[in-house]
Amino acid sequence: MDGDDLHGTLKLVSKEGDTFEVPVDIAKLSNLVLTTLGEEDDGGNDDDDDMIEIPLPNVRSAVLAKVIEYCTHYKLVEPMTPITTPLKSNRIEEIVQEWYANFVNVDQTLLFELVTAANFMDIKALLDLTCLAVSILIKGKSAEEIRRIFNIKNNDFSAEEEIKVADDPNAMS
Amino acid sequence: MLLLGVELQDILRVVVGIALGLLTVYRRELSCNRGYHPDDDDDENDAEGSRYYGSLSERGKIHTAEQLSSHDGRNIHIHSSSRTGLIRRRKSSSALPNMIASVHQDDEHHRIHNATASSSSCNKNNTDATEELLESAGLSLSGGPFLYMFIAMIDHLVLTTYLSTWASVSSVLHRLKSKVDVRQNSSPPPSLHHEKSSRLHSESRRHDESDAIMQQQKHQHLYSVAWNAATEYFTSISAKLDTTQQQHPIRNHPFNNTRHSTNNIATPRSKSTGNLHNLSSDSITSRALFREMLAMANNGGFDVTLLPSDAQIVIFSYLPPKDILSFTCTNRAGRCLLDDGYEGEELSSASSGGLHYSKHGDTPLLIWKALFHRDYSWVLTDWKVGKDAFLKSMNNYLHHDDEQQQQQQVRHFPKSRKIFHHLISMVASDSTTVTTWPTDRMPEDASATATPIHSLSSMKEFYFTFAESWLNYTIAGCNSPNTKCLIGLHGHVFDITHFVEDHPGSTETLLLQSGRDATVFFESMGHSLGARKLALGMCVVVNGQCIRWDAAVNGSGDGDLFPRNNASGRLSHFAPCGLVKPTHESLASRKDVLGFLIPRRRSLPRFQGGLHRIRERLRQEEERDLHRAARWGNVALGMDGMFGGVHVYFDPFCGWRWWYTDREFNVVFVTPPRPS
Repeated sequence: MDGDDLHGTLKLVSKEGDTFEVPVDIAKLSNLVLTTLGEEDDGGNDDDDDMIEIPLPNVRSAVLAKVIEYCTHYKLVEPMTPITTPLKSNRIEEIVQEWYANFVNVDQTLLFELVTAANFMDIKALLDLTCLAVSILIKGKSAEEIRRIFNIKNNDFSAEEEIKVADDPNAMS
Repeated sequence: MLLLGVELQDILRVVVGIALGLLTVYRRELSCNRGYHPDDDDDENDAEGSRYYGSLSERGKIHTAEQLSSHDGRNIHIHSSSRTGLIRRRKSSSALPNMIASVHQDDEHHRIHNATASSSSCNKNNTDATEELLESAGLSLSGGPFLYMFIAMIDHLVLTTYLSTWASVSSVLHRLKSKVDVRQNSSPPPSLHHEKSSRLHSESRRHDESDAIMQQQKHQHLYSVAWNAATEYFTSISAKLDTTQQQHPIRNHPFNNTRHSTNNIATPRSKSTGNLHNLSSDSITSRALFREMLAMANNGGFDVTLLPSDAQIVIFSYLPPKDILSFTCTNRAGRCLLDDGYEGEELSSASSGGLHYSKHGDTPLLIWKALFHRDYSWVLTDWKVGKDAFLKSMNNYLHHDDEQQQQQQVRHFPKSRKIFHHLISMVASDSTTVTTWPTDRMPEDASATATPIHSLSSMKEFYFTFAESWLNYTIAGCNSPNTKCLIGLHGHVFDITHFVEDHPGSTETLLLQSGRDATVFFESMGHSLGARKLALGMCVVVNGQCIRWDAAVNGSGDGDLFPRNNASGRLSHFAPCGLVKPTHESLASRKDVLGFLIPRRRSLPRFQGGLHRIRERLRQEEERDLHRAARWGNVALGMDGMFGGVHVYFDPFCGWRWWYTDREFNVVFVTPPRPS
């Protein structure tokens, strides 16, 4: 039974209803999948024929495809180098392998969704990587630059608040 | 040979062009000045004028002379031009020979001068010198220089086009001539000019062809030179206009401005220089990346403040505090996310702060807690000295009397307790600490019932306060040659326990200064390079904010000491913030670390990059407490009761504390009496 589970596949169902067949040991990178499998086992495995389906109502198909791509690479090709903190470089290529650097080289909306999905599916390594990509966007930038990067509309600080806030990072030497 | 000739010619042309341009500028200036220095004193007699003949300030006589000479015409003209030179010397003496040399130009001056002179004779009342000055000043202020630049440019353009057309015409002529030559190959040379070509008769055909090609190349080259000169002119002028008129919009921004100025005036400190350095080193790629990101941002938004809390904590735990502070400045949502002191202000000012607070909950606190855990927490858990200090303050915290607690009612009562609880649980969760912890007084219980003596308004505040005060806090009282003797230099901690006896400048001096930051004393005594190298081997805690990254990158030949990121050229062993325990390998080559950790020669203390506001407050409080402590020491102990005075330090958990060394070299800690 256990051996079957390890080498079998399971289905991940995206928000749109698309199903993705994923090998179990790859899907187990996600703690969400891991805990769900545990519950399923407890509930009893009466019919072995149909595969376990795990609905992921928060994750779009495109994002889920990316997530599975990540997990497959992580499991089968090379695990990601652990990220040291605080970051010692401004370039993502110097922190993780090239494949991973290219993996998060996506537009901001997709990156946002990847962060959310990684958080939801509880994949630690992917959350680290996507968060790294976001922090690289912020690192070494002034407030004005950050506003532009994240398309933050005009700041809603009042004038005296602005002064009070503005002295903060500049007070850093 | 020919190539060199071409180059020389081109250079000559450019030089002549510039000279002509300058001449024109000068000419204009002269004529303008003439126009605005009307020679008014027509009615002043010639006798008076002759007295001032040749004087630099008075020009009346000269002009009257010129006016007279204008009737005579050309032959006196040279005479007048030399006078002009005299006048001009007031303006710029270097251009004087030029002016005299270019006699032909003076024709024009003469005409203009005549005109002005005659016009000035109409309004004779215009004798005021200040008015003269004002008017000439008005000319230069009203964009005169730009006009000159423009005229110079046009002059140059005209010259270069003239030269190029001349060259093309000459080349065409030359080609025609060579064709004629080729045709006349058989016939005897008709003229002296063609004698040469006939003499080279046997190879003339080939030679002429190559000559034509050369000519063409020369022609093209000339064009490109002319074009380059023209574009250069344009760019230089437009750049000048840009800088004077709009001053670069980005520079004007207050953030950038102040950052620039602080970097220029104050010596740039470790952390920020590290960042800047890195930015500039791969600026090309980052610039490209930045543009991409801008394009992305226009397509779809990405709001970090809307991410799940766990992700936010991870994101910000990768960043140095400076970047986080930058993010706090973006907008209100960012500030609410990252400043756990903010919603307190918001609530007190009765605006919508409560809403924000409920939205993010404890996220800001947890973010700063993660940062503290990353940067400083190990000092209190893994480093024996720091652990002792922490236990000391916990004991102090548990034993302080209730009366004091009542009096020090903390404004942020529940919040402060929460922060304290977080801190204790974080530090105490470390197994090594738990074993040494007094089991009967678990801090969890304590924090549930008691208030910390020192008010903790926010985790962010605590982070930066600890960053400022950790050194004096942890090594306070470590000045015994028998057990532990530690000293702080330029933000780092050095263990000098085994060195105290060997110190050339007496053991006592060292003992007096140790147990706290002694940078000022160290530098005022003037230590040699050798002494500084010696100190490096004793370094036990490296402060990432007091590292000079540039010194390390520039000053070291062998890059094996610190694992180095090749692309950015930065040392990757030490972080740009927080505290690091140096490993033996990282301090193996002392030569390399010198300048990186402490300066090579006498210099001001390296400040760590904390919040200016907090540093200032601590400095003031320290001054006040030192004052109090000294008075207290004199009264309670007398001059003989202690060794080297009472020292003060800020305990981030319990507030200001005092300590001194008694005559038997025992360290005594004192809880400062309440100010009356």
